[in-house]
Amino acid sequence: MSSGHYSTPRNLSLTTRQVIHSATALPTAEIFWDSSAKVSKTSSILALLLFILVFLTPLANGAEKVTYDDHLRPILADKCLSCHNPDKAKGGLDLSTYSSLMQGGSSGEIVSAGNPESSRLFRSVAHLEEPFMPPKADKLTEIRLKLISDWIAGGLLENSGSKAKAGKPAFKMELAQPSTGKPEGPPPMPEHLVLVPSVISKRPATPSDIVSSPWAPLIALAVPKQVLLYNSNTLLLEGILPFPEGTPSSLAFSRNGSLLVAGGGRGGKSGLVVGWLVKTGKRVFEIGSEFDTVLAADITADHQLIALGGPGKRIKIYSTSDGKEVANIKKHTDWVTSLAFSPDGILLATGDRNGGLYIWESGTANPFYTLKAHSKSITAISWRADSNVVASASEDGSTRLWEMNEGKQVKNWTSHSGGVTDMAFTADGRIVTCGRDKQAKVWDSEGKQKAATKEFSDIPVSTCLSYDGNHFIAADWVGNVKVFSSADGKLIGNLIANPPGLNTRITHAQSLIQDLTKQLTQAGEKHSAKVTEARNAQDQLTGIRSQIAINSKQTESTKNALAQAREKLSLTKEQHTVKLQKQQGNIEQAQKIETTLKTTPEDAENREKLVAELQKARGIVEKQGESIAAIQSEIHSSEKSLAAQQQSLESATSALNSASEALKPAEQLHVVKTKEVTESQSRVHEVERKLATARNNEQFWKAAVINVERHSKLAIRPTLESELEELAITREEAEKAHRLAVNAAIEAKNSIANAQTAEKASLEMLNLAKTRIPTLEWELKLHESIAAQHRQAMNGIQHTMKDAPPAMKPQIQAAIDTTIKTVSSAESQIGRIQDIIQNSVANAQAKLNKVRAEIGDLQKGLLLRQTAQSEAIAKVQEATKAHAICSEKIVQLEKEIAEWQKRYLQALPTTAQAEK
Amino acid sequence: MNPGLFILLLAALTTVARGTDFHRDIQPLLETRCISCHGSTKQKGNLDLSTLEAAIKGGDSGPGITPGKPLASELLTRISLAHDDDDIMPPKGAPVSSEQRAQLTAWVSQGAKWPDGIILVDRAPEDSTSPADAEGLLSIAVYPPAVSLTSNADLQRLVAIASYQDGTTRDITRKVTFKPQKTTLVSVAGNLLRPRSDGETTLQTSFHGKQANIPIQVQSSSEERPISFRLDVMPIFMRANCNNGSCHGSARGQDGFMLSLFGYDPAGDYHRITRELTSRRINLAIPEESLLIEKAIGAVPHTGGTLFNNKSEYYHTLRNWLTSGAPDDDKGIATPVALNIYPEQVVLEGRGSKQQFIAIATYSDETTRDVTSLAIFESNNSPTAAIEQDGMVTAGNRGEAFVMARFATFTVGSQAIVIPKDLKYSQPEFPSGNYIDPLVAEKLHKLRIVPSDLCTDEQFLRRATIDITGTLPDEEQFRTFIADSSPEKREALVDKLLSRKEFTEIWVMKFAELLQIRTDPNNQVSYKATLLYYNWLQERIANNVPFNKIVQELISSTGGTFTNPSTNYYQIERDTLKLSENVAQVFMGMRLQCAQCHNHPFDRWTMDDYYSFAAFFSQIGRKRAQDPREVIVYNRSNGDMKHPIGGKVMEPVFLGAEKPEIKSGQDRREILAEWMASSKNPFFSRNLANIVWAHFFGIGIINPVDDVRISNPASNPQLLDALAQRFTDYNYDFKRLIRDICTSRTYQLSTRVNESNQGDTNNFSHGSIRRLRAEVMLDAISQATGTKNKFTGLPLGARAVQIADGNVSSYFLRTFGRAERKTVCSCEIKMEPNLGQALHLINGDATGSRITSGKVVATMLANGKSPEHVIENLYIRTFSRVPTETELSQLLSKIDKDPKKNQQDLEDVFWALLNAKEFIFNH
Repeated sequence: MSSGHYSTPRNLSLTTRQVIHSATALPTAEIFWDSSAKVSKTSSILALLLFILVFLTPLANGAEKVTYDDHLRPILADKCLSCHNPDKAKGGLDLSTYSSLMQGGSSGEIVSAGNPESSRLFRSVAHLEEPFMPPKADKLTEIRLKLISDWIAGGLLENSGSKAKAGKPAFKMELAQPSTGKPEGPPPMPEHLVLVPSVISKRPATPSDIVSSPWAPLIALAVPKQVLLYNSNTLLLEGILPFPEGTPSSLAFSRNGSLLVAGGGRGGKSGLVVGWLVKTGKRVFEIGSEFDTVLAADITADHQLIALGGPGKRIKIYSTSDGKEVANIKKHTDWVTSLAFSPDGILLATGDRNGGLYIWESGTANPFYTLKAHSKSITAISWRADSNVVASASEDGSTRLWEMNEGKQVKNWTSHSGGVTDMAFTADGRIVTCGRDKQAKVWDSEGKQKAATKEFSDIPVSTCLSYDGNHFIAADWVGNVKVFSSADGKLIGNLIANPPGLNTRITHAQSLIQDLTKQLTQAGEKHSAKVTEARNAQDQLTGIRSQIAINSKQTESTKNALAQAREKLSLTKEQHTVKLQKQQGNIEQAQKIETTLKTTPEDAENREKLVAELQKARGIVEKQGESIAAIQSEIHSSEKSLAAQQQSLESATSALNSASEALKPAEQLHVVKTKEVTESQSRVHEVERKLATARNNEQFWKAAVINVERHSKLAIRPTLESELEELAITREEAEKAHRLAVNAAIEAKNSIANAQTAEKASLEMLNLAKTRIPTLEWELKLHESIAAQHRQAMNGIQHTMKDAPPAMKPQIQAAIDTTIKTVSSAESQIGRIQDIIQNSVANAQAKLNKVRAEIGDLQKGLLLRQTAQSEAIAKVQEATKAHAICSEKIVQLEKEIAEWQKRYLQALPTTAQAEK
Repeated sequence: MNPGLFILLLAALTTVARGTDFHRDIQPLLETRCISCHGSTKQKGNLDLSTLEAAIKGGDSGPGITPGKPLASELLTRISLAHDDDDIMPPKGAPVSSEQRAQLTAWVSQGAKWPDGIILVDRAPEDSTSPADAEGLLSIAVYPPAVSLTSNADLQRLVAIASYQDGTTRDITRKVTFKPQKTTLVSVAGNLLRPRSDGETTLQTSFHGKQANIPIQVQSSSEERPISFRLDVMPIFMRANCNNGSCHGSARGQDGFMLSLFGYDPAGDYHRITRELTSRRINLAIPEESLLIEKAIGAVPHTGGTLFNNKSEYYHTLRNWLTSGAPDDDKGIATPVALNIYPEQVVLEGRGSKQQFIAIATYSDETTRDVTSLAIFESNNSPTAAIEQDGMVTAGNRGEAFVMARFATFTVGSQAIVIPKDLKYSQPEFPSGNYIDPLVAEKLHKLRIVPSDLCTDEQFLRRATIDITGTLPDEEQFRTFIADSSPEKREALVDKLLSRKEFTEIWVMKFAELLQIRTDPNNQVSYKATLLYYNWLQERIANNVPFNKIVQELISSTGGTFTNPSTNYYQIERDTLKLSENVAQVFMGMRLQCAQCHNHPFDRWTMDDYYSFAAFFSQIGRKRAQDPREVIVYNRSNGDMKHPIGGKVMEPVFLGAEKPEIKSGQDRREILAEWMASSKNPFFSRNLANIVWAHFFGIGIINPVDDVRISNPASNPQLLDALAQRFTDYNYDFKRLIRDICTSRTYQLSTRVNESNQGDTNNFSHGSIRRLRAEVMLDAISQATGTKNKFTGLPLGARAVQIADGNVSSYFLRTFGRAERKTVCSCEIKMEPNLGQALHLINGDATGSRITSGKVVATMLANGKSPEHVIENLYIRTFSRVPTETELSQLLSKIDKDPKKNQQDLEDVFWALLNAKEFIFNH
């Protein structure tokens, strides 16, 4: 493990966390979601028999319907859509939707319902007919072929019907007020997002994009399967947004910084744009369904439109409100590599791999400008904050600025020979670029270089400036992500493009703690050893010093004594000298006397005197001599003792000297030891600090683990909530059904009552009819007799007529006519009465029967409705219960979430809490 | 579940009692019936049965073997299908016997016990090593001749072949056991040799009493060789056809991704894969999800299809390279310097017999590697010897093929001859006319072909006269020759023909074509210049100037195009690159064009070779002369040829030879000329000999004559060498060479074929039937009908072969495919018959009006000749023979008996003869 390449730490937790980052190296890449279930390997005869039974059971029973949406589409997406999609549509055939498949290709329909063998789709994939599909590849597996065949045979179902749902809006998040400026309140930062990497790999991948939030110290870094969010101030990991769809190749923060948009996918296969809320990490939309990865994506400031582009050469604009495509621009002649909406959302700039650069009106998708200058692939497009200038960078090495009043190029400079790989504008109009000359550079708005990094070890591929413009970040091809000061291009720190898993982090923190604890013990031990040493040195020094004191005292006293002795000696010597002089005098006196004596004859009187004098003188001399000798011996002994004293002085002095000599090293030693003690002390403190940080880290990552739990609970919530919503609807529906059932029952009862009234009336009618019959019979008889009489009368009249004179004939004829009239009137009366007699009872009876039958039916109906009513009640109860259970679950979940939240916050180290 | 499997289960239960043994029952079955397709080298359906783990893992259809569960073992299911089921395994040969199936089932039921460390290898069935293998066995050989293993992952495939007395060879690789003397050094699995520890030993192989030993050297056996982009990854692109012209190798790439064609630009390819689009093509964090890999294995849709699967060696190489961070190679990495294909030559007996080939590359650090799995194998004659991508050749039709391996910039080949099985053949008598005949006979013997008999005198006379002089023999020549009874008369005829001026004209015409002598106003080649140039050539050929001298004079020519007409060579083609291509194609027979933009895919020529050669022509200066129509060509003494990739200045280097020392200011062309037309140039005399030979046989020993390349080898290299040697020895006098050719027995063979040589097209076992070329045909018609032609710039009655300017032509000549001299390609002369030609001869003025205007028949009749006489004369005129009895009587029966009315009938006979194949073709 090496942390040598880190710069001076800005704060402690930063460095230690980085140490942890860099130290994590897993032996192999491990992918989280790939957890294939292991098949248990038990075997027994029983299992074998069971297997046979299962094997022999026909599979056809209860086979589900094969449909386009459920079965065909995945096969087509896997094998066919890369060519037969709406963009490419090889052979005029687009298989991406049910309706376009039904439409067929240039050579007509490709499926014939119920008849796989005569469907071109099946024939070509089953290699029954040229061209064999997919071209130059193996035949589809039998299972897949069977599904296709079954689908055609089953009548080309689009979907299973029951599963057809009303399309949900893809994106329900409207902005309260479209804002192009800084949002109100604190800028959006991730709040306690999951820090679990989607992928753990030994080697970092080449980051595909880096962007900075416009308002917050937040950097987003795109790597395969995930987007990493880093704090650009602390360089700490703030969150990981999983992107299981593949590799996000293009990132963009929305204008207010609340949304992060990533375009990406799986090369050659699928692409889409995903949007997340920065704050919660919640995925809020997935838009587009491309057949290759999305290389460029952006969102307008009002969050209404998403634009995307990629190898399909098309620019597609989608509405976020319903996820529908609103424009499809076919203009670029090569892959769309970069695009960006202007900050005011009015314009859209797009660039392609061939150097093509266009400006569009984003609302209408109408062409606005064609900007011709770049000779190679456009690698980045970025707008100045005022939307009046757009910058483009290209593999041709240049960065160009274009104004939007007339679409003219206003600046152009070669920023990186060999090609610019990325470029971005900042709010203050500066520009950061990186390129194939292995450098990243910051430019002012005039294109004047302001800062440049040292050469990277490989080509930097992506770069951005932090929101405040103080830092710029660049990632190179081998996955080094470096943070620099914008002022001078000096390295500040590193971000990790392949973050390790939480457990690794914890394990590492723990081993670091262990290591540090050990270090602390060692440092402590060392420290106490040093303290002892220092104390010893101190003692030694003190000893030497007291020795010196003693010695100097001794020297001093010796010196004093010596001086006294010397003084005394010199006094004595003086005395001696005096005495000697005196003695000399004495001797001279004596000699004089002696001389005198010699010259003096022996007889002289004074000889005697002289002799006596001589004797006296000699006596004096002798006495003096004795005294001198005494003094002399005294001198002698004094001298001796002086010598001795001298010697002892010398030895005392030398003792002092040697003590003094020892003093300096001892002092030095003492200083050194004291310093060492301070050092070891600070080392102990340092290790203690480190340890604290490590513990802090451990705690942090452990909290992160708890946070994962919290998030897993959080993840359930929307499901439960939507379940609850559905249950509420179900309940409402059940209640409605119940109400209807009740009404129906009441209605049925009413009908029955009505019918019963009708029955009564009918019965009365019948009776009435029956009672009228005798009267009618009398009446009939009356009319019959009238008729009979008149017939007779008529016969008579006719008879008279034969003989009557012609003049009478008219009169007679009139009489006849009158009679006939009477007869016929009577006859009609007879008919009428007969009819009444014959039918009235029967009719009344029939009506009665009908009414009664009706009553029977109504009663049955009532019974049914009553059953329905009770069923509806049961359903209502059931739904209410389910709803209650679900709400209970939610309550429970909320509790759990709150509990986890609490646990998480408690688990968080205090500093981190403070930070948050 | 099929009923067969159920029965099998029951049968297995009875077998359980007896017990099964892996070594005795299972291993042989799997090794002989399954491993060839489902082993470590090939995994059809993604299934590998060589180890238990792999077998359990299974393939596309599920687990191959599930221990203890026969019913969940696809292997058992598939071998138990009905014999006519499409999915039955093995797909070829007899179904697995019920007893074997029972054993296998029992073995799986008992838990599929597989002894540790056993890796199954493909093996021939036991009974295939029959005593017949020992019969007539001469020797055995093992390839490669020496094995060198230099890293822990190194491996060497071995091939063993047996040679028999009848000249045939058999692949015995699967029948022998390879035994290293020291087993601690290497491990052997089937024919795969892998290193274990360093040292030297010998690999011993024996077969029916014959021995073959090859040395083995193992070095650095514990070292891992890192995956190299150039040495390991790039060859995959070539092998999997990623970088060919129709895919990513095309100039604009494919679907947005470009690779250099056949890998001529490794640095560029590395850039494009790793750093062009920095995060699209490779994924360093999750290497197996790199687009590069996902496309290749078809995990995502790929227009080019699935190229290999995720178990293949290629997949592992790519993935390991990516896992190690996709590094570029160090500057000093070893480069391939040679390629070998083994065995060098095989004679396969019988359709369907197989032979494994292997390819070994040698590198500049003197290591070798088995590149069989990386090389591309091709056959120039697939119906005879089809070769699969693993190097396995399967014999087909009788004949000869050249199987080739291509790797890096190298292409090497090996000869494969296929003869029918149990052929009744004994070597025929073939009296030789000269040195040519034994060489031809030897080749024919190798192919078990019996040559045709000699042609008749009439046929020889017509054939030789047309070939040598481009004219028909007249009646007098005919009668004289037929009447001649001398045994040496054919040689005498050849000598006589060679001394005629028409002989010269034929060759002047041929070389005028190669030198593209034609007017070209765009390049300031006036008619005057053309004529002077033509006369220059004619003068030299007529004076029998040695051909090397002519070429030297031509290539080093300097001066005005009028005063020194050979300089027109540099006017007709002024583009330096085109010019150097032409020189190579005309004088060395090589087409270098491919190497202008990428390394030649089928030959050894690289871009370096191309531009080094072109550098000879980079200092040609041209300036105006006093006459505005004249240009002066001179040595400019400066001017460089730059390599288009990297712009390096290329020094002149002879093609396929050393770099000459050239002093500053010296005319580079003079240096080239001296080397070009000398014995130092191995291609010059061979090329010219081949051109000459092709004139007389209609097909070159290398064919086409101007497409000499490794992948288009000579059909009889010894013959070509002998001719080239003679040509050199004759001081480049091709008249003498032609004498040799025309007096050989080979040239005199009849065109009538026998059973054994009817399929032969390029071994000269019979005379070839060739249409007369345009000029000769026109001249022949004129000669036969006694009419005259008029061509621009030539006097009336001139022959078509005398036309100096390639731009002068006629409808007849164009129709019959006269060379327009626009390129140097031998394909300019079109010999293929077509409808236009037939209609022109039937209806056009080429025959009808000429018969009338030539008055041949009329004159003869006027001279009182009888119809018989006239017909005989016409036959001799056209066919160089007298009519047969039947022909004569049948014709006479159609002719009006009245002598005054028979002219029309006889002219109709004449017309019929001119339209007969016997006239139009030389035979």
